[in-house]
Amino acid sequence: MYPASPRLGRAHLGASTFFASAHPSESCGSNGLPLTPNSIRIYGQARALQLINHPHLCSYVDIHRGKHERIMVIQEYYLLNLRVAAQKYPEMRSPQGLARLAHQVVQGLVYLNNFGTVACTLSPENILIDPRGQAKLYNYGLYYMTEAGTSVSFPLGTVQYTAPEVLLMQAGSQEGGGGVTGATVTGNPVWDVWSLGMVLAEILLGCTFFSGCKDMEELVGEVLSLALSPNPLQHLAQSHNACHSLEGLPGELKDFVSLCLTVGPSERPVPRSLLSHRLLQPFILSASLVPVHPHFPVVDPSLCLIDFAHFKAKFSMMENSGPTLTDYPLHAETEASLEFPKDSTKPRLKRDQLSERSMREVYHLWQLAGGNVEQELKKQKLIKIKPSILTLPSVMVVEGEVFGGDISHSQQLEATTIVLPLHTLRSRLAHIPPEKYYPLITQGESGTDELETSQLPLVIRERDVEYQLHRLLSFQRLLQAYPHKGDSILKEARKDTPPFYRALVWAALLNVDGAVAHTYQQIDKETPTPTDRQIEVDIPRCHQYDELLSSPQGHAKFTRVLKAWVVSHPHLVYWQGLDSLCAPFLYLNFNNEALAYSCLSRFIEKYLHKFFLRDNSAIIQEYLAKFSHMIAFHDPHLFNHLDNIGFIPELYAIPWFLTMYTHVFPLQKIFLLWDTLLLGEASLPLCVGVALLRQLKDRLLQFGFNECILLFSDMPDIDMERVVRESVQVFCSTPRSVTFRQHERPRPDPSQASPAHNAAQAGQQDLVMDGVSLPELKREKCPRVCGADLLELLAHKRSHSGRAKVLVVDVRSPEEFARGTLADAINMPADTSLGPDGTLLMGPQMEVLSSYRGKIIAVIGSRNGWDQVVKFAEAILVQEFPRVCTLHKGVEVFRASGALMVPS
Amino acid sequence: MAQRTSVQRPSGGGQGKICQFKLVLLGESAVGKSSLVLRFVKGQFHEYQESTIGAAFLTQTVCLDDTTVKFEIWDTAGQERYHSLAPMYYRGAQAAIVVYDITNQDTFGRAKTWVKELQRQASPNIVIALAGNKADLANKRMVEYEEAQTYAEENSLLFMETSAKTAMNVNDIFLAIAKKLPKSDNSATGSQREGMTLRPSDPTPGPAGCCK
Repeated sequence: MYPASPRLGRAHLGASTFFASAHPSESCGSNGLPLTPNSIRIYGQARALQLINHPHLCSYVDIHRGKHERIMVIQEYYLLNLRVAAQKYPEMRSPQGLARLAHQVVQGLVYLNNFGTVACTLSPENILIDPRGQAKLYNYGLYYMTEAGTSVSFPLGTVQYTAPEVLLMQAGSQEGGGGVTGATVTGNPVWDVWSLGMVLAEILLGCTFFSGCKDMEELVGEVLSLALSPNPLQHLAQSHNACHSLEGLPGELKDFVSLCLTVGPSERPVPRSLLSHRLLQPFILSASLVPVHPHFPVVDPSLCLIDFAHFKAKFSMMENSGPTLTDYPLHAETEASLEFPKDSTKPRLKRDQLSERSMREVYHLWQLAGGNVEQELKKQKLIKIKPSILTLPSVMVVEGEVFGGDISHSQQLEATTIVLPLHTLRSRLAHIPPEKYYPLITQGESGTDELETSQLPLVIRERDVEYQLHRLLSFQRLLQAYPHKGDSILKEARKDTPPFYRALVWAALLNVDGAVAHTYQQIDKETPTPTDRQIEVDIPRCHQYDELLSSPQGHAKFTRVLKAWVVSHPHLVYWQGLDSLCAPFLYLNFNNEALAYSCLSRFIEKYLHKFFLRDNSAIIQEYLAKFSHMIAFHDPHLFNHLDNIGFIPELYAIPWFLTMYTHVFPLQKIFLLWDTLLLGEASLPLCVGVALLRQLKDRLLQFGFNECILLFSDMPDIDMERVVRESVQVFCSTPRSVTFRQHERPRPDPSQASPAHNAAQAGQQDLVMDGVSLPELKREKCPRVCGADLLELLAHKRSHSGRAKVLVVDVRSPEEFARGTLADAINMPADTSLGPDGTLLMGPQMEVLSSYRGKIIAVIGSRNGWDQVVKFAEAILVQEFPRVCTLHKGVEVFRASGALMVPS
Repeated sequence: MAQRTSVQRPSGGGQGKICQFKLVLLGESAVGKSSLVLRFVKGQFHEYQESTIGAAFLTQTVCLDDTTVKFEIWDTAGQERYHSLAPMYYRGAQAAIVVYDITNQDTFGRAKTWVKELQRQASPNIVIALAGNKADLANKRMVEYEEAQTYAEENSLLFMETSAKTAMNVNDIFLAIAKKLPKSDNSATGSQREGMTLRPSDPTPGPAGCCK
């Protein structure tokens, strides 16, 4: 999102499609793995193009992969291109108009060069003209996304406008199927300068070059012959009988075009140096020529004064409302009737709110409203469906190579772009009043509260256009106000997280702040380390079903982020599983490694504190022991079964917690889970584990050891929404001290802490939970609760006259009990209530105990009689009493607090 | 392409004795431990087999003459850091497959370390097999067949080069282990039965029994 995708304005969303070249079947790379399909290479590579944001470059909105290596690209699009515009509007072909055009194109090219690539596709068809007459380069990303054309089988540019040296180069490298080398090719910026020269020359001379050529060979010959001429412009004029057009031209323009058409690539100027040409002097820059790196938290850099050119440009653009071109072509079906009443050339005053939204947002909403690019392309016959019988191969050899059965991948780039119709989306949103587009976040206005949809299940909310629009509107504003509005983001995210902004919402929930990009940039991600081999073997098998993470770009980013984390956390180490943990952040922040890294670091600090220590066994053992206690606390039936068959968490839950379930579930499920996980405390993952087991309870109860462990070796399908819901319930019904871990990260802010902490401040150390040795933890089956939590539960009981939440069972002798106990406690002396084998005997208090089944049962005893407490708790656990816990450090902790009283 | 004739699902072999054995796979990460098990148990191969964290568990039954042998297979994490968990899995195992990657000399060195550790710390009569995996990448071979074979002979290990991808020798190595394992009734008693537990500290017999 940041830098923000440009707003839709008067642009259309255009879709085009082409095929990546297919690898011969069964071919493998040097590591024995199959070669990455070229469409995946392109998919990963093209992602970065979404960062391009310049007024003279059409934005890349999205990219999809289809069947048979098909790529579908969605770009900002205008119905008018330079070829048509130059014919239609005299002002476009006037010397002044051409100079302005040249200036705009050159700016686009310089920006691209600064971005690290070249266009290589410059032609009058690929220079679009927007309704205000501004030039916008189109399809300029092909060279970048296809890695210099190596992953497609067609030539990138249009021959007429391609620089001679490029043609010669292609002739040399055309053979031998590309895409394998994988080197990032930056290209030579002067190629585009030649193309610009040709485009301008054609308009100057008022003709179409080489239109008489019969075939490609002849055409290439013509272009190459230009390279032999000392003055290509003159040569062109002569061969097209247009010398007269040259004569009346201003010298500057003629000089500029001649300069562009310098034959020798080393003498030809690069776009940057063209900017200082006399011809372009009268014009000011439209915008900064330096790509803005994505950043978070959001401070709109366009408002900063650092880049003066940008600042100046910002104002000139604002005022550059300029006249609209008359008779600008309208889209047939058309949104235009909304904007251009027939009798007027001026747009109506009523503003179309959708055009104020960013293109990516509009595209996202368009998809939610049922839009599907592949369908649109099929409708317009850009994707032709052949009966599958016709695509069967006629011969197939043993190695898997096929012949015949033409899938007819076009050898040329299909130049047609179709316009995605937005009228369905517009009509779906037509009833929303304009003020709703500007929610007042300071007053907590969220726009969704009055919608019926807000009560429906998440799957429906996530796919509802109107609901999502409101979510986007609120979140966009809140995120812009982050970190100031951090609390509101948390509040809104509790309702749900809109997938469109998930990356940033997560970053906000993790309190990412500060010089994120700068910090990341400072980390050495290149120097080899001993961990490299492990990272290198883990990445190619981490969530590789995902096309983004399996692309070469994905692997490279993965490596950098992981290496950065390892290098910058010297006290921690890479444990297998860190790769999986990184995957969701990388997927969401594919264009912002720095943010992925920051989120990962923050996440580990909060949820996996000390888990990645070189020796983490104490931490993991404590975690698993607490997990075991949680199972006993919430589901004694299941706990007893698993305990009997020896199915202990050590055998199955390590990957659950070490990777916070990222090694267990596919990304889409993880998103759902983490949307909630990130809202909660470090103990929430334990609750998720309990919810998971309970969802599989029926099966687990029937299974023996082998079947149980097989079940988890291959995780069955899980209803994640249910897990999320239940884990929150589990969390809410668990006293905090039950999930206390001594290796947990100390809670940073004591003012928000639980009563336990307040008690600590009051000096009542005994009432709070503290560390218990690992052997003790593992020996006990029921969790311990601290005095403060117990007092709070009891207080809660008194304030609400209804049913009590907790039953206190005092297991000391009747004499000790009579000397003072907690209010409403019952006395079940362990000596007389338990049989010699530790089973519970029927006694007078059994009835009371049974009536509290389902409530929290706190077993208390004296510090010296701890074994009795544990034994008693386990005896009632065997009776499948849920929520049994023991009082940490015994009844003595209440001595100072005055909570003990003589039972009546 | 897999020679699956001798491998059958549990329902396949009805008559004769049924023996259960605990088998553990050890070796450097990314040598193909999980892939070997997956090929053996399900006849599948995934190019992008996920890494194993902690350990995974699978079972498979093979028929050997009139005996049905059920393998309970513990597939362990390869990363050196997970080493401390390994004893939990190889303790009480009757068989182990130590895997290396024939295209990577370091993994062979690591395999030798595992063999040493097993000889020192696992049950004394554990059957150890050495598997040189990724044999389909023979053109990138870094560990010579003879070198590994000599090593295996010196240490009386079963040895085969395998390929989980092409299924070469995968069933064979498990069958060879099954043949070598003692299947007499008395193997179910005594020291071997002890230590079949999965809990490091708990002496009660675990779920993996022996011949029944």
